[in-house]
Amino acid sequence: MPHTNSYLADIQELNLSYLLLAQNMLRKDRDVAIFRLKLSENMADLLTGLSSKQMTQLSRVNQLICRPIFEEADRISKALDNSRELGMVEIHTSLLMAAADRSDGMLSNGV
Amino acid sequence: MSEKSLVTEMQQVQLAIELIQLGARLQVVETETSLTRGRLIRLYKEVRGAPPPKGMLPFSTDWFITWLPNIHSSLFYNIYRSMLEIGGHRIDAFIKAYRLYMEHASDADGERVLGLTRAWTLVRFVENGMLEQIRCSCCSGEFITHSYSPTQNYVCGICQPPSRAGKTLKKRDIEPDNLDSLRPASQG
Repeated sequence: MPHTNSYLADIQELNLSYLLLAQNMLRKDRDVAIFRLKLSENMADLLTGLSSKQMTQLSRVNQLICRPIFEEADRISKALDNSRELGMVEIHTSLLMAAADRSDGMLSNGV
Repeated sequence: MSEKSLVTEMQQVQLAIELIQLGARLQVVETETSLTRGRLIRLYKEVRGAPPPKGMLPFSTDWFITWLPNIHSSLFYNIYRSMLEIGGHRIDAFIKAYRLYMEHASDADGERVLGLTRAWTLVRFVENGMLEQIRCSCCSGEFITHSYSPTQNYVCGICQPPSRAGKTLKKRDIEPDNLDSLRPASQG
């Protein structure tokens, strides 16, 4: 199916772009990068130290390596679907994301 | 008597320049660096091309509770708290958080709602327990409020804006057009 293949190429490209961007940002200003990318300390160390070969290997999977950081979908939908919205959606989302969880682990944190 | 380290002094001057460039009043720089007042005044003049403004810093906590300032203050404080957790160094976290906040603040109208001195005052007010964060029962965002205010059923100013919120701002945008249409037509 050509459809699936094009998704696969997009995902792998996105994976590589993400890894390159993350490493660049981390090397320039680690603290700000951790904030923007919502990384744990361990993940920040890992991404900073990746070689180009490792990056290529990591990006060549059939799944996306990053995912939305919103813990609860309904919090974000409240920011997006505000009936009395006054041009505040970006600021509201940014505020909610600024406090987002940066801790390790997908499984340990599934509260 | 220990001679002051040149490197430390350089760093202090660098920090002072950065703060002044971002719009800090002299009192802020004086508190956050170990440089003397005389040198800071000279530095201020060199960086901004004008003598530092005189007078006291804004000292009211009420400003941070009013509608638009509260939203901006809360956004800034959320960023600052995260940066403090990540980096651990207070003034570093403050400057980085302020730059991150500016990315959002300057795209609306180019006008910064929360100036650097205000942001600094906000951090001090929270440190001194005069202001604190409260969780909105609707969006679960953390917003700035007076300490010891009732925490039950708090709803933030974005989820439930006051009835006239944002009206004055829009009026200002429309006004020039209205004035044009009122002018005598003879000019055309």
